[in-house]
Amino acid sequence: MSEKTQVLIVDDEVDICWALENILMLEDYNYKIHIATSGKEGLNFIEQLHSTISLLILDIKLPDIDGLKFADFVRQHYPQIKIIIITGYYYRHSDIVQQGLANNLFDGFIGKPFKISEIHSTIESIAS
Amino acid sequence: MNSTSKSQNMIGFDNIRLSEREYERLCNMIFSSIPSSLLLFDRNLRVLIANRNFLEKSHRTKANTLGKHINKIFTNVILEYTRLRERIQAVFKTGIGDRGREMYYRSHGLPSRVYFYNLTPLLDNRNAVEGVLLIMVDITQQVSLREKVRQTERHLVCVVESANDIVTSLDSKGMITTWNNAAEHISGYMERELIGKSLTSMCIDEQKTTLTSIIKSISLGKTVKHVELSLKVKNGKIIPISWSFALMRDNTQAVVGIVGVGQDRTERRELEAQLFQSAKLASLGVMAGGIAHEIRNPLCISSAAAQILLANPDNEKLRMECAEKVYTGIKRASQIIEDLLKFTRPTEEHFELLNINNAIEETFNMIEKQMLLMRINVIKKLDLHIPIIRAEKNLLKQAFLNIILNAANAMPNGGTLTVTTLTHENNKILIIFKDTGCGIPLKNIDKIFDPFFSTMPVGQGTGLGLSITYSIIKHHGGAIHVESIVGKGSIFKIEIPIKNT
Repeated sequence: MSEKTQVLIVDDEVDICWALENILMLEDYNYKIHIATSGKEGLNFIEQLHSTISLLILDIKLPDIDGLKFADFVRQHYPQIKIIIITGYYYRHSDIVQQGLANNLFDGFIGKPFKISEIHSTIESIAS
Repeated sequence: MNSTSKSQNMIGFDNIRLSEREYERLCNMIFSSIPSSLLLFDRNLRVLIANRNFLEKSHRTKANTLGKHINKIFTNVILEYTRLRERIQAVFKTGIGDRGREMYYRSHGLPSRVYFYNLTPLLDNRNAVEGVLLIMVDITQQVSLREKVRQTERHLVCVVESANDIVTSLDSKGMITTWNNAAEHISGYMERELIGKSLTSMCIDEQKTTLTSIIKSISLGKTVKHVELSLKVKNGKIIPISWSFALMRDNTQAVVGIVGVGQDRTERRELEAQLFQSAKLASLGVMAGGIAHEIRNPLCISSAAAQILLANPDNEKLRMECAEKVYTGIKRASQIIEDLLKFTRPTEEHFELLNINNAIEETFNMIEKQMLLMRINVIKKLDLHIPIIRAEKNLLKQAFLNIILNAANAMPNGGTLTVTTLTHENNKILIIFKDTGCGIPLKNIDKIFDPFFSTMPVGQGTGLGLSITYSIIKHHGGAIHVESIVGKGSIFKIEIPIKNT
């Protein structure tokens, strides 16, 4: 990867954004991170930066916008953006997660709380 | 009888000139029309006169009555039982009449009848007893009525004494006049200890004025049903009792007293408390999804921060940041647990002075996040000058929570929940929850407070929430109403009296 991979993190929990940013930045990866703490803010980033953003890490329980609809919108309009959903609301084996993965609504799932290694392995599996 | 005694005995006839014959006819007429049986005896206990009433009642003829000895008129049993012969002889001797007595008299082939009789001496003009008049009034009917009254009385006494509830009567000033078995059993005080004492004196201090005013309003003719007033009983315990009071009036509508019936609510309270408790756990189940999310976020922050720190131990700035995040996350998580514990802890019966706005704020704090996630916009229009009421805070929070969760379920695509508090007519506060949800169909609106009524899929709602809310509001002496338009939303209106106890 010669160019920096641009990542958009959307989570209303500022501290979760902080953690994700640090996890990504402190590894040897070559990332540029954008952070949005609401659905609306996230959509703004997408509208402006969709050509450069390649990975979206998205909390699906957002106060202002349904995260799954957010994901759906991105998938419809900007299919090149890979989507990892992150939530404390569902488990990996929850129907909604399993169906979403099977139907290609998103590419990866990370449950809260997570291990740093999970973040890396999920990103890697999507990239490959 | 000579003409002197005639004018003496028949006052009022002086001005009417009657021949001896006419006079006798008149006497006979009066004699025979009197609705009592009359027999006049001479000194030898022979019948001088028997009136028509006697002859008819005893089925006798003039021929076998007049001139006959008393022994031929009454059976020996009656004569011996009533000692009528001796009594008549005594009247002849003393010239003093005999007071009334009862006599059971049964003519051959007829049902027995009860007579009230007395003996009156007829005096001649020298004040000697000329004859003794036996007057017998048939009181069979009165006696049977009296028996019925006695039976009814015994029945009532039986009912009152075998009742499980307190039955007490008070005079119009509230002083105890009767105190039944159950009352003795529940209170530990015997009837004799309480007669003449006021019921108010047994009330717990903070309810004394309530009872006094209840007694006053009952005396004015009001019926009071289902007032909860606790009594302090002999062993010092306080027993919650649900009372009904009614006024006792006599035939002239004058107030003669008050009857109070009181049901020991201890057991019911315990059951209610259990129900409230299980309902809390049930609503906890409904909230569980939200709670998991609530708690996983701070856990995730702490866990991630700790992992970052472990991976980068040498970065000074990061170390501080991580420690701080770990701490914040743990603090947040334990706060959530604390709130939950507070909520699920069994509530002790505890009325306290409460600003209802605080209870509402605290309820929303518990589910603020969930409201956000469900995209429910909460608008609070709380009256800052709302009067303080006496209430059980945890119970009210439970009641509000159930309404809020119900509203949230009615708005699966988000919406607005407006909560308003205000004072109404200076004697109650109103708490209004208005949602913009799917509304309640007319056919369901009467059922929504019924236990186990739920429109949610099996496993998603217990159907207990609103019924619990209902009983909690009742517990506070309040009322709850619902208005709803399908497709527009519902309004839950709660009223709580300001001076409740």
